[in-house]
Amino acid sequence: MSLSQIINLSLFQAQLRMATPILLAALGGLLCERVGVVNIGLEGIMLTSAFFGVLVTYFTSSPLLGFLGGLASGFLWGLVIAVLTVRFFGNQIVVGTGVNVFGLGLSAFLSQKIWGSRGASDAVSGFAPLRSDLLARLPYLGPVLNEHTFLVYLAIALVFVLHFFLFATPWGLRLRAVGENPQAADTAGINVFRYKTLGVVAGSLVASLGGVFLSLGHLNFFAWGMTSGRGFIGLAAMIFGKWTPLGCLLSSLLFGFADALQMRLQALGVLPSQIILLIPYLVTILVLSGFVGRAVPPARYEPYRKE
Amino acid sequence: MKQVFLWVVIVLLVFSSWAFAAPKKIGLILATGGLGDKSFNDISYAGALRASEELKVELDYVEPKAIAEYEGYQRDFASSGEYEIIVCIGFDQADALNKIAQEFPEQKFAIVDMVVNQPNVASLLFKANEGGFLLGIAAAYMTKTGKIGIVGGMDIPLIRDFFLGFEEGVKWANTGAVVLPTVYVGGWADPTKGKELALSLIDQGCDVIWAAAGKSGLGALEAAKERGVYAMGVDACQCYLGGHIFASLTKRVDVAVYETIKAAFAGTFQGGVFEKGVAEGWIGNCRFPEEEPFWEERFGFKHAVELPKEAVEKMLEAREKIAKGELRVPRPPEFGG
Repeated sequence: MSLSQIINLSLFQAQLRMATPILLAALGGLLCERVGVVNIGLEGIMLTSAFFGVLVTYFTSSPLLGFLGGLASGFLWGLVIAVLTVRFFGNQIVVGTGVNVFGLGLSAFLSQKIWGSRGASDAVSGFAPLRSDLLARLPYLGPVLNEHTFLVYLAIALVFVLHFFLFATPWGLRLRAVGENPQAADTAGINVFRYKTLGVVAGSLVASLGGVFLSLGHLNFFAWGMTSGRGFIGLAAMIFGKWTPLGCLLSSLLFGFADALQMRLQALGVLPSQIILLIPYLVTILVLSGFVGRAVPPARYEPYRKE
Repeated sequence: MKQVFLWVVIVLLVFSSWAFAAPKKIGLILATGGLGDKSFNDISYAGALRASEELKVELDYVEPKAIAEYEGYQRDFASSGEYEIIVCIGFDQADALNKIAQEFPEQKFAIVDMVVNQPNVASLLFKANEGGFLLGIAAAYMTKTGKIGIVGGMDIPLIRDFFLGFEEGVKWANTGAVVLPTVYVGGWADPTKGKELALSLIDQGCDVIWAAAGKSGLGALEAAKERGVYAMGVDACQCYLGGHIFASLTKRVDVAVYETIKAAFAGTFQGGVFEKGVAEGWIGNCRFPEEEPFWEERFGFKHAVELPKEAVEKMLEAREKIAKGELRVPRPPEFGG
């Protein structure tokens, strides 16, 4: 068994595909946490948007409309979470858990009604991978980056856009200030409620991209529970990435790599599959147990009440 | 006074249900996937329905949504006393049934895919290894690269049983094809990972993919479709999912459920373990001449891929040999292999 059987082009392509939903969840979580809201409902948001992405595509045969449908569901979730946690000072963990449970129930109920099965939807035509001959000629990186659906590129682009937005624009500064010290931000004349709402809604939108990627960008159907904890792994990636977009990118790539590697090691048949299947979880535990230094959240996760 | 009245009502209710006993019915507790899965649940329901129509008895069924609900439904059904037999679908009902069967020793139960060691429970098991063997023969004839990839949901005996037989079947067909080491998703509801695993197998040269991984397996089938390679289905005929799926191992839960219900009403019901395979028609393949129309009619489609004549002949030959006991298909040690 040669090394090239594991370490090859397809490994890194798979890494990128596996990292994308985690990255989008992490970026979504990041936007919420930067304004002081822990969004534990990422999983539910992703599942719902994966569902509505397929649902709208199923009825309109247009993945683009499906994409918008998925985003719309993320937007709505964002509004619900923002209203409950920011306006009405609701407990963030309770609200997030509610979103997760509701997402599971809603998608199961509607799939049963529409496709007559709680398990999986009918197949739809999702997004086709994009090819660029120019990119393909780029050594090493080119073939790895080539031939993905546009959502993968969108996710990578978002990393840089968000990084710029958060750390180089006045709006980004205000967004961070609202999370770090709402009293001070309020005194400085920043509308705390508005920025908090903005952060939560934007974060939920980004997370819903992750759900749409799973159903329309990767599989072309919806299966119940198909997010399989990626929302939570996204939260782990966000913490490991120290609440910065670039950090999220690196940590998601690490998780994606662990997963892609694990799959190829299994096919070698050298180690028992149970041990190999442990690898991604082992990485997560190592990462979260402070292996990379202390993780200090950038905000206090409590509702802000004007004095 | 109020309490006394309440007791009177309760006693009356209990007695009335006992005194005016209606003809007994069939009770069916489906697995959590629910009806419409075009697999386990739908097939089980079809078997129970057939029995209900032939015996002219009523069929009541429930679709639990979570494992935690099994026990409640089992107790509801059993305590009503209205059911000649209660059929429980799916291995994850075993823990609950083990308890309920002891609480209601007079009630007849059947469970699919798991052993419950109670005298009033018939445990219906399938020799999945034999089905895997037959499917392996088909795969061996379909591959051009000579490499076949298999994706499992979890590394458990139930799944290893499929694959052990499959690998043996590929060898027996003797076309020079090999099966790569099994890869496992580590879960039943992660089609994303299922697809990636299948893609990694295809990247390694496999041009026939088989998945026994529940919903995760749907991702593997999708991967095969995307890359233009062949795939195979499991449990029920899954060939309706795409033209690239050329054969499926069929676990005839409908036959098992039907026969058990009939036995219960005929008074020949016995508790214990009933493990049957291709000889008894509990395990098959949707490409067998006598099964093909059944599935095509049921799911409203036509098999797109013509299986080589030689492959079908070999499969039928193997089936006959297994049925006669001339050919022994290996099993995992947990299943007495």
